[in-house]
Amino acid sequence: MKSVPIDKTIQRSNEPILKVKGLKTTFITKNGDVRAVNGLDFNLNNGQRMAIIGESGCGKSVLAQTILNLLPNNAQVSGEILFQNSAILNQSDEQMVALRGKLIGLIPQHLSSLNPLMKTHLQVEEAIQPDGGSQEKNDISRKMLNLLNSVGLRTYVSERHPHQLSGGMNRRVLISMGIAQNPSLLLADEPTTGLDTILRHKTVKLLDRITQDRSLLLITHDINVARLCETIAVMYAGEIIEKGSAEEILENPKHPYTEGLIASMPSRGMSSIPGLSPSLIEIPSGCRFHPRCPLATEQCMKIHPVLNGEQAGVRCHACS
Amino acid sequence: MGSKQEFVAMLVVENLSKIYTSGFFRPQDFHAVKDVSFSVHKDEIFGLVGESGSGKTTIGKMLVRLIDPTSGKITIDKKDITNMRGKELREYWTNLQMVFQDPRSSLNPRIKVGESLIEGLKLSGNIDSIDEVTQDLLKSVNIREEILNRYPHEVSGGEIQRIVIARALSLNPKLLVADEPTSNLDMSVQAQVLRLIKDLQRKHSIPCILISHDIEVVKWMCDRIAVMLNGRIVEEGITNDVIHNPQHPYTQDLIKATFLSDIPTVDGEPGEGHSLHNGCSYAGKCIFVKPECLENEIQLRGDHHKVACILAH
Amino acid sequence: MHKHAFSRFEQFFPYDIKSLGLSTGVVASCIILILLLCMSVFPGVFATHDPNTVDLDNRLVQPGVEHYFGTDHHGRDIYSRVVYGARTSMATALSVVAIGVIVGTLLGLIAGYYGGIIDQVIMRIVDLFLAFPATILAIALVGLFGPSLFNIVLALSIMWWVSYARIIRGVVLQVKEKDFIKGAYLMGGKNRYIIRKHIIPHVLSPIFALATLDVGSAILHITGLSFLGLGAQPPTAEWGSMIQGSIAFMETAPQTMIFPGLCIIITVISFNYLGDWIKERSDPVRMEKITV
Repeated sequence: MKSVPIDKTIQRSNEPILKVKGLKTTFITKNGDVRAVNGLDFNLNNGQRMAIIGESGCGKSVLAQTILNLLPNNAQVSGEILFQNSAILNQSDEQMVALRGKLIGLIPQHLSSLNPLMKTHLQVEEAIQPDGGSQEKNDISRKMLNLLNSVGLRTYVSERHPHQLSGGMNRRVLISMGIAQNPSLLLADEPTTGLDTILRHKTVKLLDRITQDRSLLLITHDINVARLCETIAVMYAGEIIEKGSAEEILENPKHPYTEGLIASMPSRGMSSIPGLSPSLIEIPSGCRFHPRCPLATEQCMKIHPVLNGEQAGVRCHACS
Repeated sequence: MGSKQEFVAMLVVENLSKIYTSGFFRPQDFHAVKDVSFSVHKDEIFGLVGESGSGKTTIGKMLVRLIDPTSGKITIDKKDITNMRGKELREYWTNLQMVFQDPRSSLNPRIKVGESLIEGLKLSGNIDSIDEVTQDLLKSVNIREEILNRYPHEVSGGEIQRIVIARALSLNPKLLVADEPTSNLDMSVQAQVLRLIKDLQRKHSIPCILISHDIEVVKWMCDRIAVMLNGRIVEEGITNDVIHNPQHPYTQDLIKATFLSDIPTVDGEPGEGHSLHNGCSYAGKCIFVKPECLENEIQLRGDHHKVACILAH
Repeated sequence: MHKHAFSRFEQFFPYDIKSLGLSTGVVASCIILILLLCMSVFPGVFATHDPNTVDLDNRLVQPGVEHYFGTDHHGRDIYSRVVYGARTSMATALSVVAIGVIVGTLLGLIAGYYGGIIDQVIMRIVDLFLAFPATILAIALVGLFGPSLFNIVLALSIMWWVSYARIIRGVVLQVKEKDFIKGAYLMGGKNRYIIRKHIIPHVLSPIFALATLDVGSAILHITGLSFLGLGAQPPTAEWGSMIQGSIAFMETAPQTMIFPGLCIIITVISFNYLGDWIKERSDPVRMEKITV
């Protein structure tokens, strides 16, 4: 089996660990083709942390599934995904298994990802050594306990079933499973959904701690959580419409959508964006935001703007 | 807000409690709400803030009498509604309105939105000018007419919440309870719905209870707030006082967590291990904890800004 | 524009016909069942002979042009008897299921909606009936009142409503907890209005699916009891009793057994097929997933 070269030495460098080029994911359905991810380009550097923010239905969760090849059968993918310079798109299941967990860890969105019939220690042990490994049983349980302690859970948690634990604790179990094999890239899909304020805060702190020495792709709708990352990309209707450093995006947003999104936060005045996110079946022509944009011109209706700039950029006729 | 002389309480809640008993052989009591008192006047939005399991939704459902209180008293417009039953309650129910958390289950999925919108008016027998009223309702919540002909699953969550608000207010209620009305909505839609609740509350001048876990939402919306922990109010007061000058350690942590600044809490979940002692619910997590905190429950004390913490007295 | 005139049909069946995903099997089942229904309503149109005319000169004739399915040991035309038998079997099976659905739905609705002591009483009665083996009770009742189709229908109906009551009660308990029911209370709806407007539409689709599946099972029960000689009495044409009457000639004239047997199998399979399909589609959430 040809496996992806393993490079565990993590340095904050400008060498991208994940390159996504022209990625498109389309679901073929009876009602039409749902273009969930529609021309996505970004680079995630080694050791960098990047947040993808967007509202429901912008395709951000599909991105995580596409990277790990976890899509349902009616999905069609095109484009290119390079992980540590080797193409991982359309790999065989075998090759993906070698990749998932070991090199790319996933923190899934739903707590239902935990098996309700298995005690926590079994689930975490399974994440440490999925199957056919040769590690000693004692080694694994020691690692399991260390892992649980590292995410702030006490030892008794390992003997409990998921329903005996609170949402915050289960969330931390999922996080511990995501980093069980010490992957160099962590994908976190909405890791704070359904969490209360204090638990959300603790989860963000925990994510911050465990990603000090690895790359993170954080998918979230919560702008406050996205602050954790150095860079932020804003997704709208399947594409990135603005990216840049977190500070720049939050304090000085350029794209009218980003501006609207940030102004809709209660602490920033709570003004709302008129209209609705477009359906991913009938995507507007030209700039995909033009039907809701206060600055839209005739040009915006006809010509699809490009995302200018390498590290930071904006996809807008009015701002570039 | 008016001065103290003008304060005419429209809704008065006194010592409200809800106890659930479970288990057959060894029945165990679970205090979902414990001895909660507050009052709200008619031009006011009152916020109930707390994390899940703090009992805030239970209070909301007791206020609109969807859950029977175990003890205590609820008075609306000088009328005691605590012990209403059967026909009396059924007729009074139109005065108590609630906006639910999940827009997906707030409307009957098999009935068109338009029919749901005018359901209350039809039931109350106001059928004459129903087309006009529908138009007015639509205008008041800024909804396009074509939506009326769709089923709930064909309409966005924000629009459903607006329809639910419109139909709640179509009956001129004496109380509006909004239970996390925007927690399932996108950020850019949240603002529209919250603004609408605020505008309509001002216009109709009815007391409104906003239940939320989000300090930022409550800060923007409410005149006064009560912070809840494990079924009790731990702090209550004018929103700005509570948020800018929190007295209870739990409120302080909650506010810090909202803005993601560091909080020096003890590990574990809020409320975890509470059943081990009779004292303050937050004693196990509080960094200022003293031996007295574990002995007795601390009562809510104070004039305008009430706090249930020994440090504050 | 009549904004408030929403049709009944749409309320119970708010789906697009095109999105139903009809498969060949479902279409075939529908055609067979419609054909069977026509046969039972107008047997005279389909039958070639009188089902009860004895013709001792033409006993046990092989299938042919004159007698499509041949004749039995009394020389009666098997094809015509199968056609008339459809009427007996369908009518009895449908009555059993219909009585079961009506009684069961009513009691299930009341138990689930009102709860408390009413619920307790109804559910204990249900438990009592569940503790009794249905076939044995039917045999006992028929033994008591004498063998006849009417007594069979009565005996099966007494047992049949129980499963509906339990299922409907479960559905009602689920629906009752939904926010839109609570909203309907706050809108000032009376109990009867809420049951009619908000609960029954949600109960109907599972009940319809279950009933369709159950017709097949009712046919099997009735033909089984008739085969034991407890149901249809000679000379009434009924599939079960036709098979029973043909046991002695099974080897020499298999047509006497094969054709009524085939009819039972095809009918039961068709009902099951259709019932499964309805069951799959009756959940609006699932329905949404299929259409989206």
